[in-house]
Amino acid sequence: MTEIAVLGLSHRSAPVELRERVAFQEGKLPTALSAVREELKLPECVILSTCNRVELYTLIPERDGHEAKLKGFLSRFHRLEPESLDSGFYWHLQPDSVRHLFRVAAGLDSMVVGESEILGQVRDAYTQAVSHGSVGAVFHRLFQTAIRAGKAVRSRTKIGEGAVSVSSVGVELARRIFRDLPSKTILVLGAGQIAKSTLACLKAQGTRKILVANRTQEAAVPLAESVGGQVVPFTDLSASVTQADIVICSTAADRYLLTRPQIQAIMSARRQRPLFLIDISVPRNLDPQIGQLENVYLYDIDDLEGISSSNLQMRLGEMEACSEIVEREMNGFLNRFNGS
Amino acid sequence: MIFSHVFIIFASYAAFVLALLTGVLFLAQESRLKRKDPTLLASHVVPLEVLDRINLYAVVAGFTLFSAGMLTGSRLARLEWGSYFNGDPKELWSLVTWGAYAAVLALRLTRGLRGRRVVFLSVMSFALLAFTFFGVNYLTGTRHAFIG
Repeated sequence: MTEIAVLGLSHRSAPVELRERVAFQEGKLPTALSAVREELKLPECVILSTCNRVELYTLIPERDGHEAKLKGFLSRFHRLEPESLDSGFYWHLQPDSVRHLFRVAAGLDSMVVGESEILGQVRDAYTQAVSHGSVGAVFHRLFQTAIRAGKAVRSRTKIGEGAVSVSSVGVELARRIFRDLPSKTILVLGAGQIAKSTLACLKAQGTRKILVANRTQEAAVPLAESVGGQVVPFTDLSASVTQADIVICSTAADRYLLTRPQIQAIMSARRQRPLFLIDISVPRNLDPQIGQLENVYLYDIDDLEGISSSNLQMRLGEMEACSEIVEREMNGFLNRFNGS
Repeated sequence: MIFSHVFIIFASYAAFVLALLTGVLFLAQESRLKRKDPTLLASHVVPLEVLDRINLYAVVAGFTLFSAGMLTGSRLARLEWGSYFNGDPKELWSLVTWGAYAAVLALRLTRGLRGRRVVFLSVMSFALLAFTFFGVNYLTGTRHAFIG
């Protein structure tokens, strides 16, 4: 009797060094799919290959021997020593294989629980396999049900809600303060990695006016160019902050760049328009007392991480409800599969 | 004329109620932002700037209507009771309430203040308004009683 099986490895089971070696580049997927079909004589196959997981879903005629055959195929295809594939992999048969796919599609197996990108990646893997003739009646039904279950989990629970990265928390906070983000001005002090990703998230909201200040002009210019911003002098921060609505600060300075009296003067110059300050630097660059001023909202890295971990906790709290939906969808699918 | 007086005053109350609601929402949300409440992002809310703006517009509308209501009222008083101002508790407390909202607007429009403190003042002014509307009738003898 045919059976749905999955051979794979993910961020849970294998280090990135191994994952990147067995990952399929997009252009290689057609060759891989037809090799599985012709060499291994497996009529239905979908390959899901992302930076966090590589998984081969196959429809096998009987339980025995296929794990080794598929690993043999991987080592031949990627030109790897067969021994290097001895550990790090999981091999699931029904019903675990089906459950695994449904959980993956729902984002329950993701590194960031509940992230939505994976559902699109599952859909892409499925359509690619369809267009190369590797999907038959069983996998059509399997993947369509998996995608539907993924959507159901997302819409009926809070698994995808609440920002969980520091940069998206910054953006979400800005949306609770400001009316019209695209019309706001962002000032970036320093050029740390989190500052860049926060800036990228804000730009994705449509914000166009970006000011960049750095102690060294050489660092400011490329950052300003890459984000379409304007370089402003580091020596006259007050003038720049007066113009800005959101300030992202991540310099290596070992003292406060802005103090409470300075911001107080700036706030009256800007007629009390709200000011949102994100201080990602350690040690902090903005005097914490600034946060006591009216219409000023100051968040440091701990504040942002506190919110992101609270949101992650909330997502984890939704896991049980999500698993129930997955189990229900899986049982429905298996009943129809075994009945047909 | 009595109807236009009552209608205008009630319309001003409607605007002041809107100012109260947006004001309370603003204060609650502002305080969560300042406290860095970790559950802040779990719910969808109206941005502070929007609440602040609606609060301002509602106070402007309410104040304008309330002023017009007081004018029609004083003309009515001249006709009915013989004088523009008769020292009726309703008249006195209306003046106090009018003064409170005038102060809120003065701070906002001339001093350019916004945010927590002026929003708080607008919420407090509503307490005066509520007293003018309910309290005066219960606690004092007024000729503005609705019944009798």
